[in-house]
Amino acid sequence: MQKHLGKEFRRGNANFRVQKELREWLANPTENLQVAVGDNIRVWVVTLTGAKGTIFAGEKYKLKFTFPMDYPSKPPSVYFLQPPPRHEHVYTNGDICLNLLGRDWRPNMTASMLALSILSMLSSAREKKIPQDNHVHADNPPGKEQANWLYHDDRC
Amino acid sequence: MAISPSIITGSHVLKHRHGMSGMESSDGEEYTYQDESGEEDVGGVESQEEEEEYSYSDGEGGCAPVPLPPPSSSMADGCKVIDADELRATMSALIDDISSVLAIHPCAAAALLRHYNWNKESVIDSFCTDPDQAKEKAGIMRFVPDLQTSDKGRLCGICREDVPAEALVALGCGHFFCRGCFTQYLVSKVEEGMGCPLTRCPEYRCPEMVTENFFRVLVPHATLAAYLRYSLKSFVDICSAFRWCPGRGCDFVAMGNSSLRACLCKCGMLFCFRCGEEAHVPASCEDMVTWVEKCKNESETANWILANTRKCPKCATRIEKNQGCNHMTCRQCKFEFCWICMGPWTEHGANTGGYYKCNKYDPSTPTKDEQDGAKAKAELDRYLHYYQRYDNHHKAQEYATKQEEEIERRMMRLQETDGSRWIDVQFLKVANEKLVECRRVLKYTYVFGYYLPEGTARKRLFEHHQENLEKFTEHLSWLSEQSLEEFKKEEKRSEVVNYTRVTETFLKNLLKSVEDGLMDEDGEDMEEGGWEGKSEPGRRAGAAGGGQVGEAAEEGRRTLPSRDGAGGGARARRSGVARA
Repeated sequence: MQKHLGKEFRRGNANFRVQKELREWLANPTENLQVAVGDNIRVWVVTLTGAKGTIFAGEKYKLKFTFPMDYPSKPPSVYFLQPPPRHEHVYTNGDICLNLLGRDWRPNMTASMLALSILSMLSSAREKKIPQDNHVHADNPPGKEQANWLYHDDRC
Repeated sequence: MAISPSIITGSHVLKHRHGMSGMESSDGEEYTYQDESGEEDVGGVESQEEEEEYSYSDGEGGCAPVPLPPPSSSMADGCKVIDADELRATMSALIDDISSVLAIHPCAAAALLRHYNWNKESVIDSFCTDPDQAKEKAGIMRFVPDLQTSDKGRLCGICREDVPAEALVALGCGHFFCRGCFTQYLVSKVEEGMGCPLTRCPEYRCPEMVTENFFRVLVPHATLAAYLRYSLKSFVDICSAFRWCPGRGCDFVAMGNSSLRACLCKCGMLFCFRCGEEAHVPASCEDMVTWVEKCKNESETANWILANTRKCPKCATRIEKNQGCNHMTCRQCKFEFCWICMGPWTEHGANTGGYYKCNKYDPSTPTKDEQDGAKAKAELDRYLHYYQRYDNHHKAQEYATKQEEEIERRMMRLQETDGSRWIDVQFLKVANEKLVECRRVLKYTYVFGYYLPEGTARKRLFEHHQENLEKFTEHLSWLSEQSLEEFKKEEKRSEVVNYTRVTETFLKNLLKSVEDGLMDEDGEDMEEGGWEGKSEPGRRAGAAGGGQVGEAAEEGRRTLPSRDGAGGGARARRSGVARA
């Protein structure tokens, strides 16, 4: 982790912004969201712990963030590593149906905002069930661009 | 080979004449099957005038249904083909109009129009009812014509750095970002493509639209050009009065309305305005959708059965068809046969009741496995029958299209060898163009025929027309493939010219008959009257020369339903009786 923070990147390079976000994240740790970065600074694995008092309380899931070269003009690809939570907006292949990951992404948003949105999406669930149209999507490889997605209720 | 001066002259003339010959010359930009004169205006004398007649100057400049010459028929109305510059002018005129009516900046007007699908009336309605709501929906609530500047340094939300005031810019909404980051965001949006005219402020949840004026000041020249292209493209995609020419690499746009079935582009592509595919008369757009879907599903079976090569029915040598005509001669054993039915060519003639009896599907054809002749198999056979002929004409059409260059070379060689004028060898080009057209129509007659109920009088009439067109097309194909030596003879040339005209007549008859709902019950005397024998387009016609062909042309016209109202009524009455 430290080797990534020590490097110097040029402004305008995706790594510059990713490094900045990583610093900010580590400076403001959240109990339910832990970040780990391997050799590549643009690939993060975030361990998400279900919030207390919700149906996912205490359960641990892993989110994979991959930042594209033109981040933050384009959103990062974010999906759950196996096994994903059973949630009506999380496909069994790990993909998350969330407008912020596609149509409504804006470059002043950050990875931590996305992680928090996903955590709150899990927290607000009343029952554990998979998406209605899961069978259509489940066989696709996860993490593809959500360019033409239709969001079930306009947001997720 | 050394290039002689005469060739150079030839190619010069070729360029000069090129645009004026063939289909374009007779109709200007309008393509119509109802051209009664039917004369191919080879010299192209009138083409200049005709083009001017169609010059388009719509004061309203909108996507509203475009005023066109009164439609001659539902099959092929007029259709105006314009280039990107004219299209841009049309779009600007519409934007300027809204801009002056609502007294707003043109870029804001464009955003409004885009939000309301380029419908002028809904823009004006919504704006007059509730301007704030309309502006909010279109993302121009806080529109300003120029970038805002900051009075103090701030954090740029994109690079997350503190940026001095002079490097910051914002839209009317006042969300400041550094110029570099903002530009990078816009460039990336344009790279994403089609959606770029709907780019919004980089701020999370801000609805403000990044309008054209901001793209103009921020992004590099090449990116701006791409943005303007996408903007124009989305304009055409949304407006129902426009349709891109589907031709490969073609940038022309057709203006018309959805009742148009065939629209001829300046690039030579003939396409259906309604569905944007190659013109598919007589089949309907709906038939085409089901047909294409069916072909996709059946393709493996069909491909397995219909391999590209076939065995010579006599010596079993593998033969690949690489010429346009269905009259095949095996190189190995010199056996002549029909590519469609693989029967000997000698059986294709007047003595079998028709020169070319290969277009009809006979449901009673006994199958090899008669006991498991289930419905499914019969259906597959039926489909294959139509698909095979569809595919065959499709390939022949492609072949004839590819021949265009070869034909020009042949025309030049012919000119060299006997000193004919350029105009004297045009017949080869005209014949080939007619072949391409007939192949295309014939291809789609098999789609139309597939969906036409079996055993009806309509189907019989249709197949009769189809058969006529097919045999004349095949013969024309055979004729025009003859060696240049043959064409030194004047009668050979006039034979091609005459057959081109006769074939065209049959083409018109078929299309007209379909358009009239296949109600012509004169079929009785057509089928039994034995005129098929008379107009037999075999080698006999070749031997007899032009006179025979002229007669055939006369016969061709005879099948054309009369145009006067009384005749139509009589036809309808007769057909009613015939059905009862």
